[in-house]
Formats: sequence, structure tokens, C-alpha cells
Amino acid sequence: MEKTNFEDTLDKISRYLKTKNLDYFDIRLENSKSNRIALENKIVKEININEITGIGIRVINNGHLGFCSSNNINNYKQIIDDCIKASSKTSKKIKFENWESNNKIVKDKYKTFEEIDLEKKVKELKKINDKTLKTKTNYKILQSNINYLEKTRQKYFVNPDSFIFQNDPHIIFYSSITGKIGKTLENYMERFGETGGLEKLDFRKLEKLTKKNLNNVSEMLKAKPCPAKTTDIILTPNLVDLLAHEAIGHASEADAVINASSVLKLGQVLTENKEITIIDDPTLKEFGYYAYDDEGTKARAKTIVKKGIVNDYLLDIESASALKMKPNGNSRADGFSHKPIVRMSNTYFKEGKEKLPAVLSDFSGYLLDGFAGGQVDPSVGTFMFGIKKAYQYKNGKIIGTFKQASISGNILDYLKNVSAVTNKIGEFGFGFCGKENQTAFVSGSGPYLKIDNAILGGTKHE
Amino acid sequence: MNKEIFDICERIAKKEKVEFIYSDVYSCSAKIESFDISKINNQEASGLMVRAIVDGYSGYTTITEITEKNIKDAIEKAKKIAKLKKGIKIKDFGKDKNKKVYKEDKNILEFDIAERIPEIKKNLTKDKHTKSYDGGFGISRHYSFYINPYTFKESNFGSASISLQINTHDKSPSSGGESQIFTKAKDVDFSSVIDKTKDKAKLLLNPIQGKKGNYDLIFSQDASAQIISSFIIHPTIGELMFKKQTYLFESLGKDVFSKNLTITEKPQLDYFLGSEEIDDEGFKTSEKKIIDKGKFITTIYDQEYSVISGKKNTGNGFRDGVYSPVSCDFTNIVVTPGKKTLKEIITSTKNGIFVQDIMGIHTSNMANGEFSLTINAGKEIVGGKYKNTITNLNITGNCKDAFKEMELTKEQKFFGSALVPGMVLRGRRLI
Repeated sequence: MEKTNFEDTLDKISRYLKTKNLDYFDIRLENSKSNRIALENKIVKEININEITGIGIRVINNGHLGFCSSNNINNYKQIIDDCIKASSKTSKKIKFENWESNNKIVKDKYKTFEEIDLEKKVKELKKINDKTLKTKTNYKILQSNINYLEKTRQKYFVNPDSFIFQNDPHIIFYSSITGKIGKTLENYMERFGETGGLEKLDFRKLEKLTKKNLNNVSEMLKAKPCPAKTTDIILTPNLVDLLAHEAIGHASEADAVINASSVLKLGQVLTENKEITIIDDPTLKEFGYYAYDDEGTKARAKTIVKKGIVNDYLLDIESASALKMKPNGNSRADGFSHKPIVRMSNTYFKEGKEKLPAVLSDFSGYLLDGFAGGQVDPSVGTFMFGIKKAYQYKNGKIIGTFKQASISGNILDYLKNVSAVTNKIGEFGFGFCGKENQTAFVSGSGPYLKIDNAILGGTKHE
Repeated sequence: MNKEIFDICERIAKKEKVEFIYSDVYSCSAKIESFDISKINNQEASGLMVRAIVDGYSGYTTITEITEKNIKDAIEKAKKIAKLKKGIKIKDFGKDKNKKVYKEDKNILEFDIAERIPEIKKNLTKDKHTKSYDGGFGISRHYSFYINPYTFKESNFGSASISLQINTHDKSPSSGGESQIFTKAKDVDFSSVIDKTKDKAKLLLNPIQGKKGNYDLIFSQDASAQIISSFIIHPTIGELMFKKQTYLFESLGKDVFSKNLTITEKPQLDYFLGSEEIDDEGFKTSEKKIIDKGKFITTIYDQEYSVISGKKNTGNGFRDGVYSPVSCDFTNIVVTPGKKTLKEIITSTKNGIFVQDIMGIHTSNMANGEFSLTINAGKEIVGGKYKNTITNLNITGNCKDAFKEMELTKEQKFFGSALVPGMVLRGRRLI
């Protein structure tokens, strides 16, 4: 179907919904195309070419909210009728106020992925992997795998007063290398992800990343198991990203706040340290970028924590209505088949004043680097995240390298122990955030943070 | 409609020597928020996967508008991908016959969740500690078929489920959660799950920072299922063995775990969601012990990994939907239970923690077996009796050593395609 056909379809559905005397409705029509190439050593293990088109429709009928979706667009009347009927039986009526009227075709410039054919991409990726496998290392390379994904989503949004079209291209690359020395086996993953089209595909950059990964494996094969102890730590920007996301970001999602599932509330003092400021900004052209959210609200930056104090929530229309606030553009859906829910975008700590060399000069403790996933329970405030590398410092000098660590704590206490915030924000990383069986593309960063008396989880007890 | 698609695919599969998987999924759920039921969510999706083999190499693609013309175009596209890929050379599609013997409950396909809303709403009671309920319940129905030139399978199964957390507050915030899946309509009992969640939330009131030390750890069935699935079962699969991305690489045939641990794959259990007579490549599934009294004895393979590993295909090639590639996966898993009940184990524990909720499973490194978990909620046990609720204690270790000594509870929990008991690890150091 061409774009004009999509618009015709939206008109038809919109006209049908208008006959239902609803309080509100919105329609999201999405066409998603993705190509994935997976290499395992010298073998091209997978080439997946997928395209899917579908609709997600939200209705509010006499205060009752319902959502329905299908990839059989012609079935729209049936799914709308079923949804209205079923939702009328729910016991809760919701408020839905201050939704925006926006008419916009977002014209972000990017090159389409088709400009280079898949055959060439397979050839270039094979070249990188073959070169990796031939590289001389101080260990045996058991496996080198590459995963490459390019994905474009054409997204249409319609509500009674709005029409928004936006494109959502992403490119993702993973290098996973397994190496062995004696009986020690290590696997490390390096990755690259960007919002954008073919202009972001640079095979030299991917090759460089794979080389870096070879070094990571070498470093990990020599590293010792990390001790488990209470110690001072420094987090690198990729882990500060995780701290912003897991420890604070999730608890500031307003759906958790209104359902008493978050320990945070506006005005709460998390720390007296005035250098602690955390921002969520979907307008930055990072992995979590979007111009309008999936409820048609214009994206904007929010300062979640300002100078140590909880300053704002991440809101969708429903939670904003319940809290008597205005929606601020953080409602996102994982494709047409899911309903939009409150999500983060690009979440980061603002820079402070300290210079990194000065912080490190007399540091004793562990500098932690390399993200290995995280988790939070916002209802009680406990969080934990995994860390790949830990460098032990004594009086400013590295005296040991360790692998596989974790940190954990409680949101309400943790930021109180931040004793230094450096003056430069690192590169934004990328990630996939899971919530209610949906995945959102997110990003984040921050300066280096020094945290005193942290619980460092490792596999070796001291 | 589904019958019509089936007939077209059966005819084309024989004529063109191709493979089809068709899937038609419907789900309906509602959200439990605060003290109310809201947000009906109806999702439907269907699609047809087409796989072709050209000179021994296979390629696939998926379509959603299913017409004869689109199927023929898809076959050409799949052939083109196969030629471009030239991945692993296989002989042919599987030719094993499907003689389905297990039972599925058709009544659950007619289950209407909207009718259950008043019953659930009535159970969302308020008391002085309950701040809110948070969760959802729903049903899903899945019709699917698999056809290749030699064999086929067809299934039409459904399930109902509920997942709930109760957020509480006494001296400090706390919560307790439960979930359950049902595959027989007559067994669906959302109220009893809500009651269990209330008991758990009450048990876990007033968490305090746990003290460092040595404890006997008794994991709830949910926590046990997460650990056993991610740290023991998943690392045994052939794909990871071939990629050397598992700490069990080079451990086949060795005693790795406790003698109390036996894990069996059972593909033909009545009312289990993973039951399959043939896999998604046309090869026969079979019952097999994966871990036998602590010894790692079987690795599972799909067709391609069996070829590159030089091992026997075990009929474990499954797709996680029509858009996904085939990967090595299990049908149903049964972890053999122990002899003592949970109550007997708790009353005989002098210094332990009944672990209810763990965090960080996905942060572990299964290539070297190292893990670090945080106990988010647990109940301290002193002299066989519950004491404080504790939080934020870390369990760390390596899978190669951590499960050499373990006990299992007599009670097992049903997880849809798995039966798993609670697990006990004695004398573990926590920080």
C-alpha cells in the first residue's frame, strides 16, 4: 500500500469511529520494515526481511477506555465494535483531558536503507567478521558473531483533531566474541545503535567496534572475579545512563505514581547535593528520539530531578489528567499492536563541576564500566544493575581489573552518597527498555559519578 | 477462513516443495489498577511464514495478506533469500508424522474475561495496609498449522492468566506479587490467586535492609523457576554449546549439579502449552532427560545446529512466531520434586531466608557462569519461624559451583509449559 492508501484507510476508520459517539478516539497506523543479517563465524546464519502493517485503535466510551489492534486492517469495524462492547464492562471510568491538536508531517532527513542492497551489506559484514576471525590475539577466538538490524517505522497518528506522520528509522549492530585461554572462557558484546537511516551505516566504524571487542575479550580473560564488598565507586557515563534510567526514570513514570507503585513524589528531596539534575529529553537525536509521542503530544524535555529534588513526572494524557497536570509527551507504544504507555526516551544526568582527573587523582575504590542490564522495583525503591568491568584504584592508581560485578540499593538513599559529579557528559548509549510486555528504544548518559559506601556485588567474597 | 488457507498451503507445499507455518493469535486482557478494572486490550494478528530450500540452503519470508498470488511471490522471495544466504546446508524438510496424543481443553477457547470483571472487582478489598492493586488478567487463543511436502500439524489452544502485585505500606513501602496460568476452563480461579497475593503482601510488610551473613536460602517456586530456567536449563541448549557461549561447554556427560536435580523434557503432556508431536521443521519430538541426578546428559538441537555441530537432530527446532527464525527450544520441562514439603523445610531451618522476589537474572554472564542477584523481598527464618521481612541483599557466585548442593520442595508450580518446585541452597554468603 502506498502512503495515499494509508491515508484513505485512516479516513475510513476515522469516519466509522465518529459514528460511535465516543468521548475520544485515536488511531495509529504503522508500516514497519526490517532487515536482519546474522553471521556466526564464517556462516551467514540468518537473513530476515520483514514487513508488517497494522492498526492500533483506542476508544473512550462513556469514560471506559479500550484498545484494539490488528494486522488485518480491513477488519477494523469488527475490532472496534468488540472493543467498545468489552470495555463498557470495566469498573473504572477515566479522565482524559488536555490532549493536543497537532497537524504535522515530520520531515526528518535520512537516507533510505534500500540505497545499498542487502547483498552488498552481507558482503561487507562478512568481510569484517572474516578479518576478526583471522586477527592474531593472545587467546583462541572460538566464536565471532555479528548481528545487524535496520528498521524503519512509518507512523501515522489520527485523533478527532490531529494528523501526524513521522518516520522512525534505526540501525543496530552487535559484535559478540567468545575467546578461550586454557580453561577460561569469556564472551563480550560490543554494540552500536543510532536513530537514523543509511547515513549512519559506516562499515569502518563497525570494524573498529569489532576490534575494540577483541580487546575486551582479552581484558576479561585476564580479569579476576570481582570481590563483593561495600566500597567507594565511580560510575562511567554508560552506567550513569543506567542509574538515571533504572533508579530514577522508572519511578518518575506517572502511571506508577498514580497507582501508588512509586516511592517518588514531587518536591521530595533525594539529596542535598545541588549538582544532581536528571533530564528526560526525547527531542535529542539519540536512540530514544521522537518528535511526537504515540498520543500525538509534542515531545519536550523534562527535568525529572532538579538540584536533588523531584521536579517533574513523565506523563501520558491519562496520568496527567489524574494528577491535574498537562501531558508532556512520554507516551509510547511498541508498534501498532500495543497500547501507548508512559515510557522514558533519552534520560541523562546533567554535568557537574569536578574534573575527572582531579576525582581520580586520589581515588581508592572501584571504577565501574560496561553495562550488563538492570532492574528496579519502583514500589519499594530497590534497584540493581549488572556491570561488566571493575578497575580497582588505590590512591589514584589502577591496581587490578575485575569482571562481572553489580550494584544495588534504594532510590531514596542512593543519591545521598554521590560525592562528585564531573564536568562532561559522555556519549549517549542505547538500550531496550521492557515494561508491560513492550520494548521501547531508549538512550541515556551523564558525567562520571563518584558514590561513597556503595554495595558492590561480585562473585568473590572478601 | 483458516480451513481455506490450510487447503491452499497443503496443495502448494506438495507442488512447490515448500514449508508453511500459519499463526492466528487473539488475546483479550484487562488491567487491574488501584481498586478497579480498566482498559480492555484486544489484540489479533495473523501471518503465514513460507520457507524454501534451494540447493540445500533455506530461506524464509512472512506475509500477512494471504492470497495465492502473494504466496507464490513469497516463495520466490524465500528462494532468493536462500540463494543469498547460503548458510548451512540441509537435506530436506522433516518427514516425521504427527500422531498427536495429548489433550487440549477446547472450553478455554470460549472463555470470556469480561464476565469475570465483577468477581475480580469484588476481591480488590481495601485494608489499612493496602495502597493499590497493580496487574492484569486475560486470555489468549492461538490457532496454528505447520505444513511441508511430507507432513503437517495443526493446533488450537488457549490459556487464561492473571498477574497481580499488591502495593502496601505500614512503616515502609512494600509489595507482594503472584501470577498463575490456566489451561483448563474449569480450573480458572482468579479469586484464589488474588487471595494468595494478599497473603504474600501481608507476609512481606515492613522490609528492612538485610544483614550480611550466611543463610540457608529457600526460593519460592517463582524465584526457583527463574533461576533454574536461566542458569541451568537454557545453558544446556545445542545452539549455545556450538557457539561456546555457555559455561556448560565441555561439561556434557559430567556431574555438574546436585544429585537431587533431575530435569526432563516431556513433549506430550496433556494441557501443557508446549506440547508438540513434531517440531516446526517436521521432526519428531521426544521425551528426554536433560539433567539426570546432577549429570548433564542431553543437549537439544534443531536441524541447522545439528548439522554444523555434527550431532543428531533432537526435534527441538521451534519458531517464536511467524516472523522469527528457528531456534533450539524446549517443549515442556519438568523439574523432579523433592521429598520434603516447603513447610517441613522452613520449620527445620535455623537461620535462613524464604526468598520471594529476586532481581538481576538477566544481568548474569552465562558464558562463564557468573551471576549476581539481589533479593528484593524475602522473609527471614530464625529457628524455623518467620521473623523480619528483608530486602536488598546480594547473592553472587558461579553456576559451576552454586548448584552442586541443592534440595527441592515436594510442591511444584505449573507455569504453562513447565512444572517447577521450590529450591533450597544451604549456607550461602550474602552481602
